[in-house]
Amino acid sequence: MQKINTQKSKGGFKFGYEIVLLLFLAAWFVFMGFANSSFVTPNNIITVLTRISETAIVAIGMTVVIIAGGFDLSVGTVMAIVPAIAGICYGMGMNFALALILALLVAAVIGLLNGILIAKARFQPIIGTLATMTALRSIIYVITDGRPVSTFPDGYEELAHGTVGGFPIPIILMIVVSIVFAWIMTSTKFGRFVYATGGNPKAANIAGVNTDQITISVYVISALLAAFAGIIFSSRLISASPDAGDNTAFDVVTAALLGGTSIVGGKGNIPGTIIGVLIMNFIINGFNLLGINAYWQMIFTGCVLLVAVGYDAKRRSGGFKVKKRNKAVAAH
Amino acid sequence: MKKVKVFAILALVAVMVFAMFGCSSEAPAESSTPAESSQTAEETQTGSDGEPWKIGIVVKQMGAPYFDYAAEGSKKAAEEMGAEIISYTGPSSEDVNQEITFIEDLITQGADAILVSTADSTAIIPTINKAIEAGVAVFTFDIDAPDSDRLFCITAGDAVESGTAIGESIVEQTGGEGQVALLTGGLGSDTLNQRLDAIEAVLADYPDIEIVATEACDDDFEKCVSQVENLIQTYPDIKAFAGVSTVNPPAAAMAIESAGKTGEIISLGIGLPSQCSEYVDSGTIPELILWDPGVMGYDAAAAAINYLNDGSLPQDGQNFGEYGGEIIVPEGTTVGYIPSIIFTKDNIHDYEF
Repeated sequence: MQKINTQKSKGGFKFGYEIVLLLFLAAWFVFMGFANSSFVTPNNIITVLTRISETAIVAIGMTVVIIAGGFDLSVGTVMAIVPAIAGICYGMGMNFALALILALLVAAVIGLLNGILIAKARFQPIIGTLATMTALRSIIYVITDGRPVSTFPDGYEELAHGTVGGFPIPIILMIVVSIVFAWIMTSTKFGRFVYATGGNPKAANIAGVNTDQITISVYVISALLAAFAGIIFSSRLISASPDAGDNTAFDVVTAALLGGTSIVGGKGNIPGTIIGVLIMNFIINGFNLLGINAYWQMIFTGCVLLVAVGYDAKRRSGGFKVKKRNKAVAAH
Repeated sequence: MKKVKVFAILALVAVMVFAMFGCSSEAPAESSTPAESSQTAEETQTGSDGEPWKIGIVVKQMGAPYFDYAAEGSKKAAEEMGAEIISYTGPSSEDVNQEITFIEDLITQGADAILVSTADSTAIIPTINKAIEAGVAVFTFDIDAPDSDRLFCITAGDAVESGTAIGESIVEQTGGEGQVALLTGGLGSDTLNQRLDAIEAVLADYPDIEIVATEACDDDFEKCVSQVENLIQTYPDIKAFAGVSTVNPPAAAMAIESAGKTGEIISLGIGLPSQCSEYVDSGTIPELILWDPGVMGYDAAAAAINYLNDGSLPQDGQNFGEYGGEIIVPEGTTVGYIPSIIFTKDNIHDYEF
């Protein structure tokens, strides 16, 4: 148990880095406020928050997986296959609620498969999920014939386009999912076990954590959150595109790493990831409003990933003051 | 440590407040610095001179020369008609979600018109409709989203017009006599079938031209090559092959050259410069029918500017000037087709798509 507690104090509860990120985001808002009159407007902020809600929800699942020492490349394909299955089943006359449940079940099975491949068959996470990702993308093309599926019931678009109390529903869903998972990761036994599994699996095992079970669970969670995001996405477009989610895995990993999640597991938290998503997207939004070419945006995203991973590596090898200060705090 | 945290949060709040404040006081300040432009903008909402209309271009893929030419054409139209292209952008690989992001941000930016070539005609619909609702004039080009509220689509390859152009090309290149074979992509395509009909309609006036065969290759390059090889065997006197799908002319040219018939048999039809330029240089393809994406971009921008100026949409036969040409609008539709042009040895290397 002692080990687990150490992991907890190391991983879940230090907000120094998140403050730096928030200050960075604030500085960007100040800069953009001066540079462009349409950036800091309720309209723009709500537009951006609405469209990042899916990314944020997938990123939350990815964060949980990475904290547990895993990696999930298949999230984008799950995002695509779930609404496609729901739409096709509905198109064939199935009750839509039933179709959705069936599609979510498929997502859960995909998560289970990922989890078993990695926990039981001992696949490298990146390879195991690469395999499911590739196979799934083909399955999507087969079942959709490569064409977008648009057989959805009337009113389906309300999920993404509707508002409650003036707030777009996707934003509310994003906030709810964030709070729920922030709570799970910091305040439940499961959350602590996830940190333990990623931080030091052997020690966690000795301490009585069923790490295989935790590993499988996080992949199921990731798949289900990706499925949920896929449903919101298809509601936004009123169509399920076979290409949906092509870049999602890359985007959410970047956001999670930027948010302080350690690529080797055991460290990270949900608020950090959400801030990571906000930074990535508000910066790209700012670039768009300033008329900066899309090529530069990719260079920017690549650089962010480089800096975040580099920082993580440095932090792990103890090359930064932050680490020392945290040690002092922990000792204190 | 607690103090540090409190301080950090206070600092953050201060920055946020400053950001909001800075922005709200910024808005009027900005319109006074570049005074002439921003203020006249307010007047031109109803008037016509002064501040140019702001047009954004969103394509399905950045870096494709085809769209770069289109954007160049749009810029040319904007310059001539006193509008401004405020952005030309698109995803690095086809991704409708990113396209949506760009369109949303153009609405925020206050674009007056957006020209869209979409990667997904269905998924883009809600976003196009949202832009229209926000008062932005949305025109599609190249690839249409016919079920959306977009105002008009400028595209290319009207089946009858391009088929007629191929037919005329055959007549000119063969001197109005000899055996020819027609090549098509797939027999199930309406566009390709209409093109074939248009060719036959032109050739009907030239009794000395004999159509010996019409072969479909299902848009398979290798299959087309072997079909042409067989036809060369079967009809030793054949003078020309004419293809209505972009696969056909380069495949026919390859078969002709490998049969050692360079200079004796020619290949004609619709083709992409990038796939055909070597055969154009060697003379196997004396000329190629296609459209200039620059003209498409030019006409789309011109149509948008006209709409912003007086609310008019393109009419059949409307002339967009020396570069833009005359467009064809089939009756009862909101789709305009730009005219085909002829590529030869002299101009094919100006195009890389």
